[in-house]
Order: sequence, then structure tokens, then C-alpha cells
Amino acid sequence: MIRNRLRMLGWAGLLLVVVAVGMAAVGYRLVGLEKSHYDDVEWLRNKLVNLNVITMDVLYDTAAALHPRQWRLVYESVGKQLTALSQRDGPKAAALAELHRKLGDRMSRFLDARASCAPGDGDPDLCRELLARLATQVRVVLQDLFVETGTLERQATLRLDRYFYLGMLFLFGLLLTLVLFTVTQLIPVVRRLDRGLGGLVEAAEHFRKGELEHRVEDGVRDELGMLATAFNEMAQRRKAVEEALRRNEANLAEAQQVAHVGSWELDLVKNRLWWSDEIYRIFEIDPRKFGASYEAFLERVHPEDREKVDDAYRRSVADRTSYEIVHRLLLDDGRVKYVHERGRTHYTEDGTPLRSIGTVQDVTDQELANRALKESAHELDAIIENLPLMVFLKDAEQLRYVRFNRAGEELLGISREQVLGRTDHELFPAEQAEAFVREDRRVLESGQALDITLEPIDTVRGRRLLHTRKVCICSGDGRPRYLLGISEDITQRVETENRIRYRLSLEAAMAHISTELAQVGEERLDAALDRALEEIGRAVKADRSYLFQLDPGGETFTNTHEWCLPGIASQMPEIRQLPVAEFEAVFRLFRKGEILNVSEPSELAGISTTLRDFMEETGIRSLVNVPVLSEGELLGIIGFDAETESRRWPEEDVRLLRIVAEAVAGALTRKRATRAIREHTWYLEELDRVSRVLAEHTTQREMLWEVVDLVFELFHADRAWMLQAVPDEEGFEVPIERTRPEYPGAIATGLRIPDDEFGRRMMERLLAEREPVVMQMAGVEDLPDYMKSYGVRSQMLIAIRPSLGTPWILGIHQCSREREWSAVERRLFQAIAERVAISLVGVRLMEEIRQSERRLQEAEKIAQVGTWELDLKSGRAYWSDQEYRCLGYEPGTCEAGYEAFARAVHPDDLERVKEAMERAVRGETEAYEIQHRVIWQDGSEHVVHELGEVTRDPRGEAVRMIGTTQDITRRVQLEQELERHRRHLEQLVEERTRTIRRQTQIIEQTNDSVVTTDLEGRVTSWNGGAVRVFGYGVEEAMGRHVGFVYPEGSEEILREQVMQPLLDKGTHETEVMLRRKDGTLFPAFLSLSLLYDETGTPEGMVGYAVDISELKRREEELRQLAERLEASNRELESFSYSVSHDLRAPLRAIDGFSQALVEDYAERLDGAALDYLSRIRNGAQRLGTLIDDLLQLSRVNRGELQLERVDLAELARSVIEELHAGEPEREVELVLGEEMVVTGDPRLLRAMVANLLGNAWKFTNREEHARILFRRMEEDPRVFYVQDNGVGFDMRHADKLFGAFQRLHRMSEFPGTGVGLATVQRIVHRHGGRVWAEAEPGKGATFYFSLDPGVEVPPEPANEGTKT
Amino acid sequence: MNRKVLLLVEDNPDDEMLTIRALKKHNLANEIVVARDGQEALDYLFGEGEYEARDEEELPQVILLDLKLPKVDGLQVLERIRANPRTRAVPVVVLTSSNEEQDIIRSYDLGANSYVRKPVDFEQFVEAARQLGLYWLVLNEVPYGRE
Repeated sequence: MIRNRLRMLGWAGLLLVVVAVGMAAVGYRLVGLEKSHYDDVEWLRNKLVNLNVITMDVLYDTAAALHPRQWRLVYESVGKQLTALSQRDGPKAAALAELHRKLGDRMSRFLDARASCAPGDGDPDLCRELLARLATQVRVVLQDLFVETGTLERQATLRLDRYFYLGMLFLFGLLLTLVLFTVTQLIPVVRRLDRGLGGLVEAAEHFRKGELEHRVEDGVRDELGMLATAFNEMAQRRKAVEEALRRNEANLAEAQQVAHVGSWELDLVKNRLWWSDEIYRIFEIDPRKFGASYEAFLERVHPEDREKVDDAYRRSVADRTSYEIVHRLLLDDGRVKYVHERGRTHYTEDGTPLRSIGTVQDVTDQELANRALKESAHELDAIIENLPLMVFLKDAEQLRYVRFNRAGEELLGISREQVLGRTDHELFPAEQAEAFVREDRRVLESGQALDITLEPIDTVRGRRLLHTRKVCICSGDGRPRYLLGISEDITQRVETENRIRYRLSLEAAMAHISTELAQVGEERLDAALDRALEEIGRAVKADRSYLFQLDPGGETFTNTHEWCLPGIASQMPEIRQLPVAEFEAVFRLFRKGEILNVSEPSELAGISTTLRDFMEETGIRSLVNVPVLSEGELLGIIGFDAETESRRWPEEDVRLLRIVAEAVAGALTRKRATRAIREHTWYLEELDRVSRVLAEHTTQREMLWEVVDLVFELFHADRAWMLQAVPDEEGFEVPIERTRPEYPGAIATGLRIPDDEFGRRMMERLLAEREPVVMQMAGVEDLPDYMKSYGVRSQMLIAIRPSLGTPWILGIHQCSREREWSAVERRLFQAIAERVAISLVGVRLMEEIRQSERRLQEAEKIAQVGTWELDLKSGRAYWSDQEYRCLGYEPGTCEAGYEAFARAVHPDDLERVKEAMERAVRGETEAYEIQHRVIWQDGSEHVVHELGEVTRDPRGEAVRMIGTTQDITRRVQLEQELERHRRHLEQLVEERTRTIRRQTQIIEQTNDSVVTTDLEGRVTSWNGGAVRVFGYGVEEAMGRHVGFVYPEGSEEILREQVMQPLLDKGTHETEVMLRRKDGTLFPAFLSLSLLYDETGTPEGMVGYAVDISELKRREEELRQLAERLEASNRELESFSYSVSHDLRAPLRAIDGFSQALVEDYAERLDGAALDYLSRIRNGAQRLGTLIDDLLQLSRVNRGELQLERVDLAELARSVIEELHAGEPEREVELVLGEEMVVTGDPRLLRAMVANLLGNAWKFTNREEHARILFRRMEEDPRVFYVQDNGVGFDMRHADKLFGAFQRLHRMSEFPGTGVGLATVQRIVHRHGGRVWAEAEPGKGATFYFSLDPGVEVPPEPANEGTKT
Repeated sequence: MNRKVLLLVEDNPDDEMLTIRALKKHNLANEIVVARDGQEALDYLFGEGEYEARDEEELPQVILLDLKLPKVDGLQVLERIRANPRTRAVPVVVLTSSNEEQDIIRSYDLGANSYVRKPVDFEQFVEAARQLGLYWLVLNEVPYGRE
């Protein structure tokens, strides 16, 4: 860079010189220019002078003589001069040109002027003057030019001088600059050079000393800088190399340490040993203490190996082989280390060993690991050998066994010598071997383990089942090397499992069978048994299973149910009713509950030869039989057998069979029980039917017919009959018989059976037996022909032996088949016979009784005497027919008894009759005798006379009454006729006396006192009322002056207020205080009048006094009540006053502040808020209105009506005006009627009209032409009505119309409180009127009201209808 | 007219606030004096009690009188006002919260000049003032040019 700097300096100098030269040239040029300018000016002035001279000459000398042509020459000369001037460049060129033009102009004008004069004879003066003027002008111009050129000249001179000075100054400056520049540029360059070189020298000195850290400053990019950088880099690289070297050394040491490898060098010549650090470390020797030598090394070697090591080394040296050995070191603390030594010896050319170089590696760990490995391999062998599983190993190529453990030997039953080196094909049957090989290949190819869960294998010890796992064992390079197989012998386990499974299925079958048998109904029992046998047969794998049941009676048995394996013959048809006795030996066992389990017929030799023979005969090889026992009773045998092979069934099978046997026993027992119950039920039901038949029929013949019918039906007989056991001459009569149509040829009714030997014998036998006799006709030898002709196959007969009368025989025939009758049937048959016998006696007795009764009735009828018998215990009675008639019943139409009797007795007499009867029963009277009335069913009244007596039991207790009733109506009627006549007479007399008595009685009975006196006032009569009112008895009062009933000191009152007015007027009424006997006073109303005699003369007075103290008290009560009412009214008023003020105050606040919010904060509230506020205000106002309306309503009830004459029309007009003011935009037509003046309370009537019209106004607001009528009705002028053409309402809701708070329209449609019409109604009611409405939705509403017509006033002059 | 005082006799603070608001809003009266009960109203009018220092000659232009008041009720106040020759001529407008007739009748009997519904209904009040010829007495002149 320094070089550059110098070079630049040179260039700058050169540039300066060039610039100086250039400037000098420019300066010179400038001076030259100015000079030429200056010359030009000089020339110009000369020309001007020249011009001026010409002009002057022309003007002053020749002008006058000049010819125009001369003028022109002058002009042209001047023009040339001027043109020459003007052609020069210069500032005045334009001025000169102008001058030229002006001059030319003047000249031509002058010439023109001259020409106008006569040519040649020009006025010289004029010319001169003209010329003078022209010359003057030219001179002026020229003078200007002179002045100007002078100025120009001055300026040029001045400029020339300035250029010279400037040039000098510039040159000097330039020189100075050059010197300064050179000096300032050179000084730093020199300084830098000095410093750079010094640094380099110093660095070189450090470098030499090896201080490589030192660096030269190399900040500046110049030659010295580059030199320094190069130097630095050199130092750096040198340092890096040194460090790499050092690192390598360290790495080597560390590698030795990690690998536990140390290196050594033995100088054989000097016997000097060098060890690397690692060897010291391996030998655990402090290098500072150890003088390394071969001997010292040997010292460290384990004593046992020392010789071996030494020997090996020496041999290697001698043999020129490499030396390698593993040996032990014995350390100071007794530890042993294994080391692996390698070494080589270098020799001189002549073969002298020079030095040995080698390594030592610590192989303790590897050595120990090796040893451990060997040990564990040994253990593994032992494990494999002793494993209870077969373990084998085959080579992967040929699959020969290379390993085979003891368990394998045991499993396969061959020794390992036989196995090892062989293939499967050599050991197992071809097919099996093939399978094994296939598996092995698969495992080897896929490399995946194979689990063969169940593998059969045939061994010398029979077939075994194995669970084998085969695994591929690969070598390090992943190629399969061996096949490992491990097999477990699971033969036993599988067998056990199978057995358990079999057992489980068996038990499931048993459970199913038992459940089914325990639950099955009788009707499905057979099917269930069949199924059970099948299941058990299949479960135990029998050929056949079966159930033998003992037949009824237990003497034979039958195979009732059986199941056979397909292909096995059924035995069922053969085993039917086989005698038990033949198999007695086995049955004895069965009864004891023992089981027969036979695997070979021969086993039965000592037990039952019959069974053995049977088995051999039928080809049964083995069987199991189990008894079916129910509570010790043998019901049958259940069993299974095998024909195909001899088998011994295991104990479990037998046990299960026993369970089934128990279930079957249960089912069979149940079946038997069910059957017994059913039979018994049948027996009872049928016997009941028979009994009913017997009870229903009263005649013998009917009864027997019915019985035979029933028997015929019950026993499903082909024929049923009865005959009397006593023959007449012709034989036995068969009076009753019923047969089936198919067997008509039997005993015809009325036919007689000959009384022959057979018949007699039969009869004897039957009469001797109590039980039915059953005969199978086929077995009867000496059957008479007639019997044969009846076609009877079986018959059942029984004797009926009534205790009264002759015996009968009842019989049934079975012709269609032979028949046995079951025990229950026989029992029923016998029971029927017994019942019939009893009934026969009953019927017989009944008939006898009936006959005697008939005779008695005849007698009664004649005497009009009825007989009766009353059982006192039951109230039941026996009445003769006449008795019925006496009591007004048709004989037999009602139940005889006390009840029917009492019904017939005249109600008025009933009590008497009862009493008489009770007296008789109690024994108070000897006999029951009474005469009383009875009322017959037809309503007629009769009189009867009854006579009866009481029968008593030995204890003296009344048991029944027996008596007679005689109708004595006729007699009594006659007696009554007489009595009536007598009575009539008596009555007449009595009536007379009664009327007389009545009047006195009235007076006597009244509660008010009636007193008569004579004119003096002495009491002449004193009635009961007076006694009660005053307390004085009649005796006390009679004859005394009436003053004694007045308070003391009231004589004057008596005289003046009572007596005198009476005497004056004849009658008098007054209120006075009177006195009772006990001294108490009471207010009384007194009414008095005079009594006159026949002639009309007063003869006394009668006074009538009423105690009015009660009346007075009532008055007082009423007064108090009114006061209370007044008080409560006042309270109510003050309450509503409070309501009107206090309830309103919060409303005002709500409304007022809502409005304030709207007005003051409207701009801050949004639409919704304003809406809410308006709703709040509406609500508050609505509530205000509601309160007003309610107050108005309550006010209606308060206070007196102030009745005045009121013009309703006037009111209406003012109301409508107000409404109109409220809604000025509405047009409503109001039509008012005439004569609308009424009397009423103006305040209330106004409220009423306001409400009615207000409603009309409100509900017409949707009408374009709203119209309200208010007038009287034409039909009834007392009624007013308000009619509108508004929305109206549904008449269905009319009942709600006048209730407070009832509204018929939605608030949103028509606002309102629902109080208005209630108010209207109250007002109308208070005016004694009525209000009602008629309306229809959409057609307007009409409200009618009337006011009390009594308060109406006469109509005023007509009012006009008004329009609003 | 140097001072235009309006005496409001009202015990319900809500009504008081709303009334004053209505009056102010419509530029009625320069100054509103509020008496919270009848006694206070009387004290004010007759310069007694806490108003002892007041020049009782200076009477309000109009009295707005609520009838339901504690201590001395509105009717009694009215009675006293009318009984005193000095205050007899002061226009009294009764504030009503209902159309309870007995109040109206008694107030008129006692010499109330008019009736205004509570809280002061501006329209109604102006009408009342007009009828009493008080309008210009109580209404603040609206300055010209106040657009």
C-alpha cells in the first residue's frame, strides 16, 4: 500500500503541472481575446469619426447644391459605413442597425420632401434646414456611439489588468498546495513503515524462542499487514501440528488404557525393559519404584505360570517365532489377573536377537466370562437332561437328531443311542414321520416357532398325545442351524378332560331330565319319560333304555316306555304284564332298593336264572336296572342295556340312573295322586248330582226315572235299569229302564223277568251283598237264554234296601264290550244305591203325610177355620189352606210364617197381637186368644178370631204354637153398624158443647193478658195469660181494682191516660209501664174497649195487655247494629282514602321518574330501553286507573243517595265531550233520545254514564263510522239503552260481564281495568234498577238499564238528538 | 318583580323531586322553597321557628300545597293561610293525588284557588296559573335570542 501511496503522489504532482500549464494557456488566451476586443473598439471609433466627418461634410458643405442623385450617393456612402458598423459583432450592433434604419428613413423622407419641391429648384434654406436637422440628429446618434465606444474601451483595459494579477495569484497558490500535499502524505508513510518492520522483527524473535502464541499486529491491509498475517498463519499452523501430535500421543495412551493393552520393548543387548504406562497400570506397579527388567517382570507373574512364561519367551526367541501366551499375574494383595501377551523379537543380520517388542492385554474379564460360560453350558445340559419334557434337537439340513434328553427316552421308550443320528423316518411310521418333517421344515423356513397343541404319536408304549413346540435355532449369520423341539406328554390330561366332559354332559342330561320330570304335567308325562330315556340312553351310550311299571295290583309288570338305538329291536311288545313272581329274586332286590348291574349274563347265575335265561334269549349282553321306589313302594324299574358288547357301566352312570329313577318315581307318584284326586272329585260331584235329583223329586216314579237316567249317563252304560226285588206271580217287573238305541232288544219297560232259578239265585246273592256285584257274562256257565238275548257282556248290579217297603235292584249292562268297573266307579254305584234307598223311604213317608193333610183341609174349608202351627225358634209356620184364605192369601202363594202373618194383620192391631202372643208364650195367659183385623191382598178389611196354645219342651220352654183362625168379619160388621149409630148421636151432643168451650179456651190459652172489669175497674175475669204475665192467680185478682198492676203512685196515669180516654172514646190504645206480682216493671201495650150489655149500655171494660219488653230490646239491638255499621263504613272510607293517596305515591314515583328518564336521558337510551320505560309508565298509569276505578266502585256503595233530577242527555254530552277531547281525531256520532230526565244521584249517574259511553267509545275505535245511541226503549220507556256498533262480544261470556276485573277483550286490543261495568251495575242496583247487555261479536253491543220507576220525574220538553 | 318564590309543601321526596323537575323544566319560578310538612310551611309563611329570621313580608308568588302532610295536614295549613289577613290573598294550588271528592270539596271550601294533579302536571299547572292570572308571575321570561 505504501507503494500505492507513493505512486499516487507522483500522479498527483503530474496532474498539478498539467493543470498549471493548462491554466496558463487559458490565461494567455483570455488576455489575447481582450486585446482583440480592444482593437475592435479602436477600429469602431475610427469608423465613427470617419462617418461623422462625412456626414458633417455633406451637411455643411454640399447640401444645398446637391442633387437628389447626389443625396442618394451620400446616403449610400453613409449607409455603407453604417452597414459596415452594424455588421460588426458587438453590443451596439443593434443600435447601429436601428440608426441605419432611422437614417435611411429620414433620408428617404427628406428625399421625398425634396422631390416634392421642384426638382432642381429646391429651396436651399429649406434644404439646409432640413439637412441641419438631419445632421443634428446624426450627430446625436454618433455622440452616443462615441460615448459608448469610450466606455467599452475603458472596460477592456481594466479587464486586462485583472487577468494578469489573477494568473499570478493562482500560480503561487498552486505551488503552495503542491508542497503541502507532498509533506502531509509522506510523513505517515514513513512512520508506518518503521512500526511494521519493528513488529515483524520482534515476532520473529519470539518465534525463534518457540513462543508460538505470539502474534503480529496485522490490522492494516498493506504489504506490512500481509507480511504480518502470513507470519501469524505460519505460527498458527505450526501450533496446530504440535497439538495434533500431542493429542495422538494421549489417544494412544488412552486406547491402551481402554483396551487394557500395554506395550513393551525389551532391549536384549542392554537388557533394558521399557513399559508403556498401561503395563504399569495392569501390573499395578508404581513406575517410580520399579526398575523395569525381564526379571522384575517374571517376579510379577503368578508363581505357577512363571516357568511356563519364561519358557515360552525363551523358546520364541530361540525359534524366531512370535511369542504368545495367556498367563496369570499375582498381585501384592493376592488378587490374580489374566493377561494375554504377544511379542516378536528383532534380530541383527547375523541372527543375534536385538530387541523384543510386544503387548500385554488384561484379559481377566474375558477369561472369567469364558469360564462362567462353560459352567452355565454345563448347567443347561443338566436342566435339559432332567426336564420332564421331551427335548430334542435336530440339525437343520438332514433333520437328524443331535440331542435327545432322558424324558424323551422315557416318553418314546427308546434309548438316546437309538435316536441320536437318526431321522424321523428311521424312528416312526412313515405317515407320522412325514408329518413331523413337514412341521420341522415349516419352522426352519419361516423361522417362527410352531405350537402343536395336540399331536398323537405311536410309541412302543402305545399312542401318546403330545403338546409340542418347535423352534428354529439360527447361527450368528441368521441361517437355521438346529430345530429345537420340546414336547409334553398330555395324554393323561386329555383323557381326564374327556372324562370330565363326558361326566358333565351326563350330569347336564340328568339335571335336565330331573327338572323336566319334576315339572311336567300328567298329560305330558309319557313324552317326558320317553325323552328322559332317550337322553339317558344316549348319555351312557346304551343300546336301549326302558321303564317297566308294575301293573295295578303289583302282580305283573309292563314295559311302558322304551328307547332303542337305531338298529336295535324294541322289546316293548314282549314285556307286557309279565308276572312278577317269575322274577321274584330280582324284584326282591329291587324292593330293597338294590341295583342290578350285570355285565355278563353269567353273573346272574346265583341270583336269577329266569333273568339270565331272558338275557340270553334276547341277546342282551349287559344291563343296569334300578328300582323306581316311592316311599318304599316299588313302582317299576328303569334301566338300560347293551346288546352289542359286554359292558360294565361305571358307578357314576348307575348313580345318575338312580337319580333319574327317583325323578321318575316322583313323577309317577304325582301322576297317581292326581288321578286319585280326580277320581274322588268325580265321585263327589256325581254323587252330588244324584243327591240333588233325589231331593228334587217328590214322587217315587219320577225320582227313580231320573236316577236311572243319571246312572246310565254316569257310567257310560249301554243299559241301566231297576226292578223290584220281590216278584209277583209273573216274575220280576222292570219298571224303569234306559238303553242306548243300538241295544233296543234288551229288557223292555214293563217286561217281566221270569222268577226262575237263575233269577232267584242272583237275587239272593245281591241282597246278601252290600257291594255291587260285577259279572262278566262270558264266564257265567248256566246263563239263561233270555239273558243271552240281551247281549250283555258285563254287568254291575246292586240291591237297594230301603228301611220301609220292598227292596229294588239297580243294574247296568255293558253290551258293546267287556268291562271292568274301577274301584271308584263301584264305590259310586254303591253310594247311589244307598242314597236311593233312603230317598225311597222319604218319598213314601211324604206321600202318606200329604194324604192326611188333604183330609184336614177339607174340614177346615167347611168351618172357615184355618189351622196353623208356628215354630217359635225359626219363625216358620205351617198354614192350612184355609189359614191362608183367612189371612187373605191364595193358598201356597207366600211362605207361611210369622212374617206373612204380621204382614196381613192390620197395622193398628199388630202391637196388640204381638203382645198377646208373647204373653201366651211366656205363660202369662193360659191360651192365646185374640180378635183382630186383617187386611187382605185385595185391600179389604176382615176380622178374625184366633185361638192357640203353646207347646213346650220338657224343660218348659215354648217350642211352638198351634192354633186356629176363624174369619168373623160378617159378625163384626153387624156389631160395628150398631156402634156407629150410637156414636153419631153422641158426637152431635159433644160438638155443641165444644164450640161453647172453645172461645173461653182461646182467651184462657193466649199468652197475652185479657182482663175484664166492671165500670168501676174491679176485675171480673182474669185469663191464663194474665196469670202468666202478672203472676197473680185468678183468685187473687178477682174483684180487685185493676190499679194493683200499675206501679205505685201511678193512679193519675191510670185515671188520665187510661180510663178517661177509654170512657170518652169507647176504645183506647196506649203504652204504659205495668207491675208484676214480684214488683218488677215492664213496658206494655194496652188496648182497651168498653163492654156493652144487650141494650147497648156499657157494663164493663175489657183490657188487653202485651208485654213489649222484648220488642224494646230488639229495637235497641238494631240501633246498635246500625251504629256499628256506620263505624265500619267510616273505617272503610278512611281506608279507601288512604289507598287513594298512599297506593298512588309509589306509582307516581315510578311514572314520574320513568318520564324523567325518557325526557332527560333519551339520547343515552336505546330503543329497547325507551320501550321498557314506556311500558313501565303504561303499567303505572294503568294501575293508577285501576285504583281510581276501584275507588269509584267502592264509593258507589258509600253514603246516602243524593236524589236530584238529572238529565242523562246532558251528562252524556259532557262525557262525550271529554272523550272527544282525549282523542280529537275520532269522529263518533252520538244519538241521544228524548226525555232523558231521571231522578237519581247525579254523581253516581255521571259515573255510570261515563263508564257506559266510555266503553262504547272504546270498543268502536276500529269503526270508521262509529255511532253510539243512548235513549229509552220504545217498548218499555223505563228502560234506557246504550248501543254501539263496535266489536261487541260473545254472549257466552255475558255472565262475566258485570263482575269486577272481568274482561272480555285482550289488554293489547282494548285497555281497561274490568271494573267499569261492575261499577255500572252497582250504581244501577243502588237506584233500584237492573242492567243487562246484548251483543254479538263484530256487531256491537247494547247495554240496557232501568232505574227505579218510583223515582222518575215527569219528562221535560223534548231533547233533540245530538251529533258530535 | 325581584323574587319569584314558589312555595312547595310536599313531604314525599319522590314527588318533591318530580315536581321541582317539572317546574324547572318549564322555567317556572326562579326559586322554589320546599316545606316538608305543614308546620314547616306555616313557619316559613309566618316567619316562625327556623324561619324566624326571614322577612315574612316577602310572600311566595304561589303555594303548591299537598294535602297529606305530617304534623299539620294540608287542609289545616290552608285554613291557617286563609285565616291570616296577610297571607289570605296568596294563591294556593292544592296538589292532589286522586280525585277524592271530599278533599276537593273541602279544599275549595277552605279557599284553595286551584287543583293540580301530582306530581305537578305541567299542562295542568299552567292552566291553573292562567286561571289565577299568575302565569306571568311565576313563569320565567324566556330571554330573547335563546335559540
